[in-house]
Amino acid sequence: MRCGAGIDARMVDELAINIDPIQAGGRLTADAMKAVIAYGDGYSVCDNCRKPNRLDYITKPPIAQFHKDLASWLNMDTARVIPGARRGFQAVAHTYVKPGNPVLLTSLSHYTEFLAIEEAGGVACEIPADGHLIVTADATAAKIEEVKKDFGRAPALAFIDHVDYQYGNVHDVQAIAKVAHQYDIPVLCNGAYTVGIMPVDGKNLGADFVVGSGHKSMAAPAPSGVLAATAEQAKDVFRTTAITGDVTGRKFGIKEPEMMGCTLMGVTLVGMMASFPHVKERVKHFDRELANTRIVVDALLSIQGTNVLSEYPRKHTLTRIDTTASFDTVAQSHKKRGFFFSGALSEKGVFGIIPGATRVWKFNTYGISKVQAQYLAQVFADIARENGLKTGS
Amino acid sequence: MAISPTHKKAVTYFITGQYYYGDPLSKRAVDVVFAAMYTLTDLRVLLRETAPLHELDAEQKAQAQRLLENLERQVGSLKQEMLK
Repeated sequence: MRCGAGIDARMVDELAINIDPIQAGGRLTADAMKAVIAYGDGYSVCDNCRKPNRLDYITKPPIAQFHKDLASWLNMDTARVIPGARRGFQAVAHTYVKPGNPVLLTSLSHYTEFLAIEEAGGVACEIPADGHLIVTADATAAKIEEVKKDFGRAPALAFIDHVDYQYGNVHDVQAIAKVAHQYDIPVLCNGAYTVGIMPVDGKNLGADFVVGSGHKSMAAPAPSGVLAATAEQAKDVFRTTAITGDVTGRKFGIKEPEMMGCTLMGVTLVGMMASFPHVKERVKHFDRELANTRIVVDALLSIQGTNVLSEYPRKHTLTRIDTTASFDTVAQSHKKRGFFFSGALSEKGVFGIIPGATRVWKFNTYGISKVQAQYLAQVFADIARENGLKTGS
Repeated sequence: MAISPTHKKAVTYFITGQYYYGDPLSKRAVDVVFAAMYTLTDLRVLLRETAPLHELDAEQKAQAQRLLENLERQVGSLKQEMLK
């Protein structure tokens, strides 16, 4: 079935259990799908835009209230919707980082944090994760001292991932922020894998900024996200325009340069808003999600030779697994080579593992039901048995 | 064909003091189109929740039954509105 010339209708989540590591938390709620139907046209949220002509002032649909609710929910003072977490990194880096400034991030940081620093002319200084692949406050303190020695000043900003994208490990943002603040370093908490997935309290974490991803973790269309700030930092990052045209004398009211004026002007924002009540509720039940993850991880670990590379027991639904000594041994002699695994998963209605991957791969069980988790666990065990691998059951 | 008072009211609900012209259909037809799409969306979500086998339990079957009956009513209303 096609939804346009050369565009097949996408039915992945209707036909399969989707455990793609980056897609799980962004699956739309029914209300978001309905909002997408109603607000698909371009500037659809602008029907009732009135002076002062800025997105976060629109009251119908209730965008102004949504901004307040977002900030309150994250326990921060001010929030803006943004086209993806990366645009939040960019706005904050552009505000605080001057050319040549050292900026902290971690050895597990997402590439877009590096790009934000690069674009601002900063120098990336990685806090190394420890042997358990966790970024600690001690390592942060050591890195700051190292940076001070090398640059003659403390870093201008710190990007700390609440949960990293590589292993899905939870890092102690609160302790790290406490150290950073001792050196007056503002802290951006990258909540791309936590905001909308599990409870996030920005002030309790000690974050100056909390960034979330709508399409990764808030059941919203892409690109969407949130940048929330404390009142103190909001004055800087959400400063208003001061520019005047030299010929026309035009000024641009209260537009915010770091936001490039209005940000999400249609379906992305309304999708995010429609999912928001469900997202607020679902973070309270993260324990259920972890229980489902455990069902699947336990099944994988029952296959001889399989290891979990992420911290264990799991504290997040995104998990990195090593099947070099299990499924990859099958791939060595299988006629389909490494594609036997993704092929077998596909035949059994499981989607989201990189085709051909049989050594180290990631999956995310967020949003699946217990019945689906049990089915998924059975699928992994069945594929192992069908290919002569020993299992614990 | 003149715009009905209901239609006019609906438009002003969205655009205060401003009117869109040229749509000969009733507000009811528009409402029902959206309602039917939303019913289909609920069915779509049910398919997602039960993927990949789509073996519905008793509660899910009852939900599907309710949604399909709604959809039939909605399609019936559309026929009345659009084909009159």
